[in-house]
Amino acid sequence: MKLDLALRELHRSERSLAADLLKVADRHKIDHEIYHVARDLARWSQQHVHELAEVGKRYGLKLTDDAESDSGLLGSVREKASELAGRRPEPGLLLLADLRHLHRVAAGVSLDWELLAQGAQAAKDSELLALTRRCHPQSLRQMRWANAMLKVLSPRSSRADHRWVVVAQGCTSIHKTL
Amino acid sequence: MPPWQDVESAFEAWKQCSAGRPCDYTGLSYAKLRGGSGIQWPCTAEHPEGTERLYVDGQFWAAPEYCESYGRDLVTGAPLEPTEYRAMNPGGKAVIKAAEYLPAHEVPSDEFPLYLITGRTVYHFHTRTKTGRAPPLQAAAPQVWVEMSVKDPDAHGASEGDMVEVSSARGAIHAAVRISGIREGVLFVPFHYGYWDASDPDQHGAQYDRAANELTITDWDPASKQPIFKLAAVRIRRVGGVS
Repeated sequence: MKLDLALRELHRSERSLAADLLKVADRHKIDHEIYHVARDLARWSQQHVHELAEVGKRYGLKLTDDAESDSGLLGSVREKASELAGRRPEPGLLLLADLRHLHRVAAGVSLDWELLAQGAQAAKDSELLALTRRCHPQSLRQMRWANAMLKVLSPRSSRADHRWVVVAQGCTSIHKTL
Repeated sequence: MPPWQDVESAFEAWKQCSAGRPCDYTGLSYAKLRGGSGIQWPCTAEHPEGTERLYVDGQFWAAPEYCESYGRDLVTGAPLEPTEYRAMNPGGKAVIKAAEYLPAHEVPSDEFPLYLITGRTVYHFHTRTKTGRAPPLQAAAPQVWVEMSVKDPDAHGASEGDMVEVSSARGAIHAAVRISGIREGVLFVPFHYGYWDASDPDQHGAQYDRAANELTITDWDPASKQPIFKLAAVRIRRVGGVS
């Protein structure tokens, strides 16, 4: 197993999870619990990116250390849009699509941590193994959060079944356009 | 759910629901409930007068097959799954959970350079609906104030007793300054002063600008869902001298 490849892939997936968490926070700013928790959880991924960049040096990798800590101008636009849209049914469906997306991204990150842990064990790199043991549980918690919020919100938002199908199908295209 | 048609039958129905669960009421009758005061649950045929102490001899009710909830992740609020809980606590021991430090959800900025914290005074309880009607307590702390560190007044041009406006991104209140031993850069406002005993709202200068909770962010604990009402980034502006 190429550890440098595993590190690079995990670094990439953690960075996108951090960015996606912030994006979802901005987009649902008026949903206060989503906003604050998503931002708290983004910090975990930012910290993981930082630690991966550090440990990557030992494997000859130059991984960037800067996960987005704020989502910049576009973020403010999304926050404003969230405030203007308020709590209407459509944003509810958008939130379900966003949480579904976050769950999938976090699941990918979790698998990447598992692969890295296997590799670290094979290479007897105890420092790297310790890092995976510290960080992987947080990826699982990010995943469970998205899952739990979906369970709480879906009865409210997808009263008609066909609308949920639309969400599931439209999920990919929504994320491409936003 | 058993049927009911009045308060007594509703209580009987509720009793049936509680049978065999930790908070078992089956030994309680409606007459007993109305009669005296302070019957401690569980109250069963075995303990008809209630149970004085819970968890005697370290017996908690945390066994996976008996407990009423599996708890939550303290940071995310996500509930634990039954299998997860069973693996974590098969012996039904009491669980103490720690939550890591998280930075405040609003921190001071150029626009709002100070921290505001809110809290209590010894003379009042919550919004004073009781203590505000007890004359000695009401006289001891009749009006809202804002505490400020001895190191801060110069920077904000306010001194002891001055009226100031404290504002956050959400609202503003007016309060008299009290200089105290609080930490530099932090203000304190008691949250007891609201609107139920404020003067006539139609009247100019009514006291509709003194509730500390108007300033705090909308945020709650993800596990307990308790609103936080504790923290805000604010600025302060002197609006008048000692009143």
